Amino acid sequence: MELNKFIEELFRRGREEGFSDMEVYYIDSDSFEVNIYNQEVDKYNVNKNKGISLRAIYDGRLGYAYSEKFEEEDIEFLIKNAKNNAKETQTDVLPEFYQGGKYKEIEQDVNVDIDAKKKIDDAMFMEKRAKEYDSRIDSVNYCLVETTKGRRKIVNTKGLNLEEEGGVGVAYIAVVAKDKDDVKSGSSFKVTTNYNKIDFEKLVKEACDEAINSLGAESIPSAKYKVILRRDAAATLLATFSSIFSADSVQKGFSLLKGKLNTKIASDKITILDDPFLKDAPLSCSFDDEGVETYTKEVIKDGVLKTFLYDIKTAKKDGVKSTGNGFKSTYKSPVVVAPTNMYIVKGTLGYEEAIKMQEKALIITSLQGLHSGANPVSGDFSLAAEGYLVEDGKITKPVEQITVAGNFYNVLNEIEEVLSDFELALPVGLGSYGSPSIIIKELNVSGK
Amino acid sequence: MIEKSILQEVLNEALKTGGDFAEIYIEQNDLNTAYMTDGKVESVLSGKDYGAGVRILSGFKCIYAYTNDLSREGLLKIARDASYALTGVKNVESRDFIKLDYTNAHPISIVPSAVDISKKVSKVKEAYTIAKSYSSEIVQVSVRYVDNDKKVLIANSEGLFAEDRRIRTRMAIEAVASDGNENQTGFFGPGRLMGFEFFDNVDIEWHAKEAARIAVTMLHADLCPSGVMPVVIDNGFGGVIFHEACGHSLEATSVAKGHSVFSGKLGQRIASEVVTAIDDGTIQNAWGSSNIDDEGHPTQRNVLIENGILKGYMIDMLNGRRMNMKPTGNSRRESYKYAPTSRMTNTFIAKGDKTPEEIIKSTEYGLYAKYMGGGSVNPVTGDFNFAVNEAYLIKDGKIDRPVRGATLIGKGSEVLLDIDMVGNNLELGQGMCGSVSGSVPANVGQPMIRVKKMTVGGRR
Repeated sequence: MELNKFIEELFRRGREEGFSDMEVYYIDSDSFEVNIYNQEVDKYNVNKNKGISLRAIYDGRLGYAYSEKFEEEDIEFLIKNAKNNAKETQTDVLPEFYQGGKYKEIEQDVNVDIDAKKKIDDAMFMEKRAKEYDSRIDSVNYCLVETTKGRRKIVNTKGLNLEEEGGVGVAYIAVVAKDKDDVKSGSSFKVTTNYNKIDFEKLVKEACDEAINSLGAESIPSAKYKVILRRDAAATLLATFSSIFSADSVQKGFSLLKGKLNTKIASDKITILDDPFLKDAPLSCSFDDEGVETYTKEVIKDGVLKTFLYDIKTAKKDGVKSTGNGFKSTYKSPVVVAPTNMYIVKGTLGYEEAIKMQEKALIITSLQGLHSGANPVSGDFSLAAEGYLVEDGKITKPVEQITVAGNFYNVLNEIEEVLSDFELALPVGLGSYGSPSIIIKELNVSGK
Repeated sequence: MIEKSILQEVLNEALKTGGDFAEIYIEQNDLNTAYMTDGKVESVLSGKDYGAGVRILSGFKCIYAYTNDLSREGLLKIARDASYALTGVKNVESRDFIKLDYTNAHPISIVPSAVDISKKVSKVKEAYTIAKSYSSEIVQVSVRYVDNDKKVLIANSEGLFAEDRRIRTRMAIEAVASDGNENQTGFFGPGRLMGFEFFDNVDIEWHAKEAARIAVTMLHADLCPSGVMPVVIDNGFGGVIFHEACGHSLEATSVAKGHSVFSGKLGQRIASEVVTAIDDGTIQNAWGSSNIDDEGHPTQRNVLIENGILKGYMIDMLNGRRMNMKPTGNSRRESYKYAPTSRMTNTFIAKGDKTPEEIIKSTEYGLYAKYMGGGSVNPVTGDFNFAVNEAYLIKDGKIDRPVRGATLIGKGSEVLLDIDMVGNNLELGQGMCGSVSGSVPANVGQPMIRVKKMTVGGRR
């Protein structure tokens, strides 16, 4: 069935069934991915995906159902299930849909309409350059280019009818360096709305350097170390603990920031933004998945907690307005509170300069096991890490087989310096996160 | 689901440009979830996934396309789109289908669609109440219920035609204990290849209490000390360490291209002789089981390591071509959105002869990891890390005080050689395993084991 007709019919049937309000969320996307191995196409994917979900209010309660089929019978499936599901939910705030507001247009250079041949050539180029880069580069285990174009549509019975299109281009390379028995990996990626901004040569260099520079890595003695958390590692740490800024977590007691609004929770050097208008960021958008207009906000300003992130439901609970942070990970999922592009605002000191200033410090380039070794509820983390040791202003050796442990709430207060090398990391889950490198007074490191 | 003649048409369309093999995978997945937290059933959701994926192989090359449009035209279109990746001419015709005949090894007594959503929700409320009332220190509980009924059809140009129906049910319980300043969590997530009879087979009350007990115990635990020490890892979900640190490196996905530390080591010693490890996709009604894999091969029991010697890998068809080895019924995918590849099913260390008491008693000082959390591994280097959800120190052969915040790190190839004791209390634990072909239900498992030395990362 044609989409608009499907929605119209769905709303008509829904009213007959006694729903007071309904909202549909529709996604369709076209994606392309190519993987290169040994200068040949190894994997080649072309995909078309679409799905619709219905949120419907019945007797003051909200029910959900979704479908990837758009036939007459699927209308009945959606209605029946949304109604049965609504009856089972419990709520202390009446669900509500949004009527619409003033939307600011996003300024994006979206360009992902790229010829398949060019994308294959680009991926081939990356693999070839990586293999030529250094004799110690043993193999390239991932080399891929991906583009996705999508459309998001939200229509409700309150008169809202919004549509936004977007695109994203991704390039990723992972290499293996070998020196006798020593094997190390390195990777690099770029995610952007503008395919032409991908610097393939740079990705190759970053991935290969990372692998080669880690050859010969050793563990270091267990002790407290001053830590330079490199920008990508800092972004992953922020991503892991970002839920503490969600009003939902706060209301449910999953965040220790309850009651801390307008108090100092971090070092003066820290300002964290949630910025839905960040340029070239694939998650930038002018409205959230409930149709609420988005805007740029300071979550932390100079160390002071300024706001939590809200969707309609959590905002209603606290008697405030939604901050435009109600998102769904797919049409299959319920709306949850999530950031758009959340990042730590950069400082002025450069990364290389900062290294020169350290007598002894540990640079951490990657943190692993964030989904298990970090607890967003308590703030505790104990994570496997890799990096470099800095002595007398110079990198002296690569480091591996260590864990760093601490507590995120404490770390926020112990940030001595925020550097100037900001970059957005690969989106994780619902949000996209970024950070410059940060210097932390000390962290517990467990090694040999 | 779809007429055979249309499937043949699609396969022939896909082979038009020189592919030597084509496959179509069709899936309908009906799903229900319910989520309760903060004293309220917050969301109840039902949905229907419906899609098809076409795969073309040409030598080692794999082309994949999927769509939600399952009309004849929709399917022919993705077959055509995929075929454009090749530039040859047709040299293989799709063969007539022969239906794969098998007896369903995983009987289901109550299909999810036969049960009212209100009954499912009442199970959620029960679990919630049990965990919440465990202690006044339990400040928050969340319970997630999910069932799905997935019907798959796989047909390929070599004449294979196979269907399977997989019904799974899972309940995940998380409890948070707090003393006002500190929060600690406990988790349990049992799941089976079963319908609503899941609740007659799994003791939800026990699991809910355990989740709460872990949270409360960890709230009163000291910080874990750091250092290198012997580590005793208990049975069940403790097997996650083998899964992550060794299992992934035994999947053809990483072995075929020589990226795995275990590539080319068949017949060699890769583990201490007390270690035997198995991947078995046939275990009746187990979380990671199915009758056939996602390229239509019957699942099987594969011995990976026997008494420390590497015996076999987990192999899918495409990587089998590279390795010149037969597929082992391990080809899996999350959904039609992924081309299948070699994945674990129910993977475990087989039972040994030591009692858990003997193992603890013979450990003078070390860490006892009662419940493991998740972890991850770099498949190239074998570096792994795991969180320990509930841990205790071992002193003078006795379990001493609880400690929190412990992480275990190491290298898969080394830890296998350092296992010096294997217990007799094998159990399986459920998880979702994420990798190149998406997130699939997988059992990990082991009896209690002891690793001679491991780096324990703690906060002290």
